[in-house]
Amino acid sequence: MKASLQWLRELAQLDTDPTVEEVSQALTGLGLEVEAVQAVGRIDPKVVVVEVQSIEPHPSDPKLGLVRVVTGQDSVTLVSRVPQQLSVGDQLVWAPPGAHIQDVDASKPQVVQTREFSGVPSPGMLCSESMLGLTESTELWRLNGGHPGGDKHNPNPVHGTPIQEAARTQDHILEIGLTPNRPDALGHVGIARELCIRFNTPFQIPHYDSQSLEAFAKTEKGIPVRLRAPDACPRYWAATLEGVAVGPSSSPVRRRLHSLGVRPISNVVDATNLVWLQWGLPVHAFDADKVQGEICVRYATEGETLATLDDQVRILESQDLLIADSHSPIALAGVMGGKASEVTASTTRVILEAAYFTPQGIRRTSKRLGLHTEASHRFERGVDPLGPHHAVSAGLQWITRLAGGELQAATFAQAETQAEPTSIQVSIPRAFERMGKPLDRNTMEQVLRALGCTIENPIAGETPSAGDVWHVRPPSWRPDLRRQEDVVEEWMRVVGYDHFQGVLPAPMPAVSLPAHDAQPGKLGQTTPRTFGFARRVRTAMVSLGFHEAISYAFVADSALTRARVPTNAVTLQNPLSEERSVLRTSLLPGLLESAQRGLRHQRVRVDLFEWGTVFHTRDASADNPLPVERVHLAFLMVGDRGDWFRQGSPVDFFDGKGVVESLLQRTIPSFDLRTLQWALPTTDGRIPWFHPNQSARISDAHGNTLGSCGTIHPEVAAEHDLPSAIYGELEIEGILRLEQGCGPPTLEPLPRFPSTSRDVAVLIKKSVTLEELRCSISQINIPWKRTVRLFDVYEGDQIEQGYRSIALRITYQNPDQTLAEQDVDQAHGRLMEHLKNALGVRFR
Amino acid sequence: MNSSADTPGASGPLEATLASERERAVTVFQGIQDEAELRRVRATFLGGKGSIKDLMKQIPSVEKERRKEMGRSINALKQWVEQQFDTALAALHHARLEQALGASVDITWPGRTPATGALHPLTQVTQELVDVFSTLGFDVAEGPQVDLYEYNFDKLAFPPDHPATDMQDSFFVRTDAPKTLLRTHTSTIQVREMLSRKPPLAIVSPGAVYRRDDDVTHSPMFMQLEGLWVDKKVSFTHLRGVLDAFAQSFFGPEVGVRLRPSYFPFVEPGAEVDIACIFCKPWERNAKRTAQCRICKGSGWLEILGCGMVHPEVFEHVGYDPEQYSGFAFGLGIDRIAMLRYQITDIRLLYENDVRFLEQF
Repeated sequence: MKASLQWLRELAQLDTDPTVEEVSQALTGLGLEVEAVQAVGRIDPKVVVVEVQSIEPHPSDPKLGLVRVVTGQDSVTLVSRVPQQLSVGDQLVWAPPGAHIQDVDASKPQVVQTREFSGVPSPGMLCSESMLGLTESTELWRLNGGHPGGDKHNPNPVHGTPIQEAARTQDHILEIGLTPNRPDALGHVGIARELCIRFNTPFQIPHYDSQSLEAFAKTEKGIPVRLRAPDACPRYWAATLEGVAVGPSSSPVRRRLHSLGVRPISNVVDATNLVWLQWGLPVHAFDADKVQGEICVRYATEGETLATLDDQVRILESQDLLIADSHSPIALAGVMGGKASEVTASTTRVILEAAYFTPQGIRRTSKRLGLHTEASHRFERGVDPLGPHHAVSAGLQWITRLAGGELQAATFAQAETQAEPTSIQVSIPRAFERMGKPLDRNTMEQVLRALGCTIENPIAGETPSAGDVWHVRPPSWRPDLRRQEDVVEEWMRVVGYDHFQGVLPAPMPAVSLPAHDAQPGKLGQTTPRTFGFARRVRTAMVSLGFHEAISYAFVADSALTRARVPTNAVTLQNPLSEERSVLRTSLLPGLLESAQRGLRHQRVRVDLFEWGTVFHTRDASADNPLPVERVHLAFLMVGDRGDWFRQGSPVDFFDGKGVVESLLQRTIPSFDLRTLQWALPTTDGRIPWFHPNQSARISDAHGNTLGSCGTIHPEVAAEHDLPSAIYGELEIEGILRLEQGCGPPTLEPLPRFPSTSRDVAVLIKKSVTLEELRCSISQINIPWKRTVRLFDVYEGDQIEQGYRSIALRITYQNPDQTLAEQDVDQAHGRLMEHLKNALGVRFR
Repeated sequence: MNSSADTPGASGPLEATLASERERAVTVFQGIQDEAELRRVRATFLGGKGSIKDLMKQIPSVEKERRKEMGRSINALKQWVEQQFDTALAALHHARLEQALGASVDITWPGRTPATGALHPLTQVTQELVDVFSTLGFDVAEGPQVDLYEYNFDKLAFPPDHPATDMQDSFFVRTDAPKTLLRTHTSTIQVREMLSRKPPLAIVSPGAVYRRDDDVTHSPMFMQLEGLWVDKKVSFTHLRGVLDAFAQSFFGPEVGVRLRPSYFPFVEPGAEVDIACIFCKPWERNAKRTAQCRICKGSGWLEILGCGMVHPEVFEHVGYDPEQYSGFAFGLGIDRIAMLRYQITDIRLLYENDVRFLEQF
């Protein structure tokens, strides 16, 4: 909402004269946030009022004239276009050489110079409003005459007076960010009322002489009005004016409209715009000669059409409210007028409509048609139901002032039953409890009265402020005041929120509370608390060298296909773009895209992880009506190991496996990594986004899935312009279950005696896994602890087909004493013998 | 060596030997590069056949009254020699060590960086916020991102079909179930928690939320943290107390807050909260700096969150008695705080995962 400071001052008639900053602060403090202030109408004081002395034709150019003007002390002859009605004595505006002026379309000011027009020099120029940035009018600005109305405030400015003073052009426009609960402040009157509250001045509602209007309404002369949808339109005024002369509005009106961002159109239309700007109440003017018979407010029939003022043909539905005459629709109620009944230059009779339309219907129509207008904006927020009376009076006054004419007839129709605002019971002790401190009761009473509330006292003879329960009846223009808390807010915002100093509340009980039994069942469920665990996992991933990624949860359908992840995705009904139209089923597409971006920026290595939610369509048999959401942790490694001093080699499966193991070890220190099950996918159970021979499903000792890890399928990598990439994705629910089963680590005593190692190189069939070898080593009966470490693998020419050479270091440890070399030799020999027999290994 | 002289006297041949040996000790150790050689030379003084032993042997030949003095002189020489030897040995060790330490490296070569990662700036801010609110007594709660329209709007007292819902333009999800959407605020968790727990309770709920906006300052997905405190006799001054404590511990002890009336359907009274601008620091009363501040645009205040007293209708919807219980709620944009703190001007950078961006935090 844009508001003119000049206008607000006129309406509020404040006792003091606050600055624009003080006004802005006052409004912001009351909840009408002033987001920006723009100074308008500043004109170089060199630009002055001049009076025409003589008008002569230009010697060579018939389109121009020579206009001699008195500029104060002096007179000058200027070359200009000469409009027909210009006569001696008219007052014009002159920008002399050296003056800075800024055209309405220009981005910066220009300096006026003496210019020659067909051989005749012109010292400066006669100005239009647009040259001075005031409106879009390009005609010579005449201060007297030309337009009906004139400038009432300064009827005869003295020539030589700066125009800025003579026409009071300066103003400040306040840009107010209104919250949707305050329709009363969608006009200057409402804002002025708030200013009066803040500056302690009684507010005088602009008064109109409405006697003749009411007298007319009592006669049967007016156009018949039928309210066929009294629920959607309970009040309707139609006033008929005759003898209206349509033309441009006066300069001050056009300037004010322009500065408030409203395009001046014609005096009648401008008058209707002034009504909503002033009162926040939309009115509409019809050309009375184009309205046939009666006015009927009714719902549209399905498929009915109406050409609206914006030249669109609207196809209507049965929930759209219409204004119709005896033949056809003439307006889309509360949204936009019809083209056919528009006020035009030839209009002389006008029907002025002022009505109350209920918010929901207007909103439905406006939303459905994508037609958001100043009128619909106000009606859908809820205008004053009693407002049409003010609006029609104000409209009549503006039209007759700007366009002449006279009221001939008026009709007022209203529904039989009217919704009455009910009074609100306010418990004063409860109010003080909510505020946190008591307020002075007299102040509270004054605040309510200033807001327009009445305090009804149910107990006769008692002053309202004495009782502990007040019955407060809000004014008709405040539909947002419905409950005790709304009244509490009014007191608090007028007193000022800063009046209430902070106090810390009493501490909460530390223990989590039992389930609330009032509404059990599926709707109340909450998800497991993962925040603390997430922190540990994230910290571990960072310590492993990964950067954390956060990607959009919505992706393109094609991104899922490209990454070969599940495509049974949850789809958005109204996505912003195809690129973000489904919810991710895996964290892979987002990480692939991020890695791709990283490599584009010449990174040799990108390591990213993401903790995020993935979504799957709802299981039809489940109780939960919502899609399935799972929290996953995923990581992606792309590029080479190594840095500036070491030769790199591409990351592979074992880098990924190492990350999974380190991560689990760091987050669940007591977890025994040996219980983790790694399984190569079977031919039928391949994971589409993984390399079939370099990937694994990961599960716990009981076979519960924990996730998967491996090399990204070379085709998927290529699709994303990536060299080989390693990916792992873990299901947090599974990991949390592991954690809950583990508890804190228990200390294993540190060995007090040295261990002894033996290195061995074995030739072994490729079909035998290291795990089998390890199992075999642990089977043999040696009373000491042994650990096996792989330190070299060789396959190639030197080795028999189908075999590989594996170098192991086997370390023996007796916790109770130092091992004797000969005991170790003997045991190691037995172990070698066992491997030979059990697995058929040979030694090199 | 000099043979002993029978001649007694103040400066006999014994004194001369003492003096010459003292002089020899000054030079003889110099320039020796080998520890064994040093010890060998030392032995020429102190060894079994060394000059000092020799001198000692001669003491009995000195007159009685001078013997004591002579003994002292020989001891002094002995100490002198030891001192010369120790100095030479230390110098030799030092020289050896210097050699072993080698030439200095070019310390301008790049460091070998262990692979280091970093938490996303949004995570860093979220964790800090949660820490601050945990200290103030809040518990962390989470909830689904796709939720029922009912939980996102109706239960939070949004009037049906009201322009207030335009403040949060939603993404709807195709489903056969009741009207479902991507939550537009984490206040849905408020509803779920209250439905499943008895008051009193105090929770903060961080998480991703979704609105149909996309420009430099609005991302269709962003992060929010919402707080809720419900108990008997909770007042507006309590809300203010918690916000003061939050602003001071998160932004700094000087940072004050300002509350302005505003409107959110699920609170009444409602407020927008500004903190004193953390860039131009108006508490330092540098008016010129504040006037020129780009971040707060000269106002001295930064809008940081919305809050208010829980609307009684919300309590009614979750089965709490609004006559018995009251509470406050607040919600803040984590992205907004991260952008302010790190001076990020384009919100989209937060979700592109450009490593050049991520490694700066």
